[in-house]
Amino acid sequence: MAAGAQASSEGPTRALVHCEGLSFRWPGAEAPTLQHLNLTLHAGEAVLLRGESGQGKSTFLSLLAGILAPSSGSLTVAGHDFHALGQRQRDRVRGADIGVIFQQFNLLPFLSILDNLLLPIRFSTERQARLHALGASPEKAAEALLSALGLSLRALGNRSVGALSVGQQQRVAAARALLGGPRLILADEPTSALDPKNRDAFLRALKDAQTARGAALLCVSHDPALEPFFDRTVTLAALQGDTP
Amino acid sequence: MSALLRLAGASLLARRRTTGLMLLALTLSCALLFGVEKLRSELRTSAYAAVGAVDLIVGARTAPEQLLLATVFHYGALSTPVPRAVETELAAHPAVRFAIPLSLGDSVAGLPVVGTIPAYFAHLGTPSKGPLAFQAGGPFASEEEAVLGAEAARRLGKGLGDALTLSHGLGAQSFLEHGDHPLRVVGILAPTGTPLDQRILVSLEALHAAHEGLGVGGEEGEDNISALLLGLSPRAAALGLAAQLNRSQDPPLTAALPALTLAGLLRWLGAGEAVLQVLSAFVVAVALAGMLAMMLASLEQRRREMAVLRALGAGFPTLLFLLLAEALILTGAALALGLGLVHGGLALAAPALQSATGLTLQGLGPTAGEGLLALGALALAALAGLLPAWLAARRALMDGLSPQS
Repeated sequence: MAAGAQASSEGPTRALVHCEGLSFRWPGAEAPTLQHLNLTLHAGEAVLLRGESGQGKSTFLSLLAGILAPSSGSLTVAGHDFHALGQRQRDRVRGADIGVIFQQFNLLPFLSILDNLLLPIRFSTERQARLHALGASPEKAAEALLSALGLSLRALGNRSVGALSVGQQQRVAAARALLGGPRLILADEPTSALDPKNRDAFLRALKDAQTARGAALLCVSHDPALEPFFDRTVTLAALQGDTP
Repeated sequence: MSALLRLAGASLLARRRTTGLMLLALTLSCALLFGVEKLRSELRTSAYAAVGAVDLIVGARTAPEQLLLATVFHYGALSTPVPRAVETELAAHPAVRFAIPLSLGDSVAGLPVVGTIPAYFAHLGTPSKGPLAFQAGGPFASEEEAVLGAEAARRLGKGLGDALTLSHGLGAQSFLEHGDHPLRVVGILAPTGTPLDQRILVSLEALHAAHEGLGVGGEEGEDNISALLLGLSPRAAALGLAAQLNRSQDPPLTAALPALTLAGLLRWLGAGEAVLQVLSAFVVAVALAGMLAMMLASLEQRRREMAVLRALGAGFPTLLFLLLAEALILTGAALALGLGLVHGGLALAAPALQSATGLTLQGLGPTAGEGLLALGALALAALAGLLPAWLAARRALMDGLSPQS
């Protein structure tokens, strides 16, 4: 696959995500799960990482999210050298600059929709500060994001999270990931619980919101039907061969 | 911080069935802990209040404990009388502020009848040590009159001016009842929270007359009393006077320092109290172990929750704090509820306890001892919560972004 052909010619310093020779082995495991991966991701770019399950795509996302630490190689995310930072500092970078969307069960069932949306603001002072600089109250910003993704907080009213359809839950999760201006959105099979119609609607909304906010998007999926929505598609195998 | 506490609270509420059951177990165990502590301290306070202004109790030769129990708590009897001449002699002693004779051994409907002199009311106020307060009427002035303790008046259903008949012996139903010497109630004392509330106080002469009428005068005659209550000035004279009286052979006397004797009795009771305290502490520990089991069991189904929080930037310390806060919120709530249960329960049970023991629980507010117990329980809860908190936070790190794998 010639997916890497579009890789930018700009230097790694301008990139939002840049990894070179990135490898990861679970503690105690014989063989590394990921080996010599190279990837460069720029602001505003939307990239699909495609491949069958069990290849380590989710592990790769965990590395980019700073939840796992690479075994070897270099990894820079949003200007931070994740190899040099400790777990606490990587947690902080994630809270400030990375939004995560899971396959499903993104929302905490015991919190209201609005409280779920506002969670990242509670965890990150950086996100708080960015909203403050825009002069937007967190509630207003959350409402605006949700409506950009095609949902109305007012229409949903006081409905509990469990009463939302999966499609609606994924939109709320996407809005939450984007709230407070993170620069990188990581999505792990965000459409696998959706039917084709909902899937396409969700991806279109996510892509629009991401483009409008200039964030980079890396989405992991096994589904080739997602490809048209992204600027480019890569596989783990292709990332191994690439020089960024 | 407060946002995190709210998050922990919301998570607890979402699991309200297990949380509720756990809270119930913790609350009951905390109530037991507080209840034991409360009764322990209250009974002590009450017992010392019952001694009141008395510096020395003098009776015929016997054990000081028996003297104290018979004169202050109406427990047991004094078989050997004291000649009244002893009263006259001691009243003249320069260090004696007051000498109040007591004649014990009679009862009306199970309430102790105490023969004494009107000076009793002037000197034996508790706990302020001034005169005794009356809720109605005043002291008796003749052998036809009687004064009732607050509880005695309530139990007998008598008011001022009502007639009262004495009987011999301490039984609830004495067979030697006699209507020859009806007394008139002239005073009802204000509640004191001591066994005094249950007493019927009459003059020595009234008791004597009742015994004469029944032909049981004997050695409890007009010239004999059961014991003497002394107030001293200076109070430090008690030790020397006690030593002197305890050596006397004609007649052989015992002088008991009530506070000292009571302290000895309570020390002896203390061993039993310690067992109760240890047991109730164990019950709390068992409840906390239950909480630990509940938290550990819930961890599996909460991996998702942890993963979401991790994804939002929550680090190891935040997850640790959340789970620890959960243990502390549960235990804190249980402590507050347990304390409320004990104090509410005691407020309800206080009248029954009063009529059964004559002791009134005075301070129904939280005490320093309870505060210490609560702190101890919280510390234990934090310790117990540390294990699941650490395990969960640890696992959340291992799980990465996808706990289902």
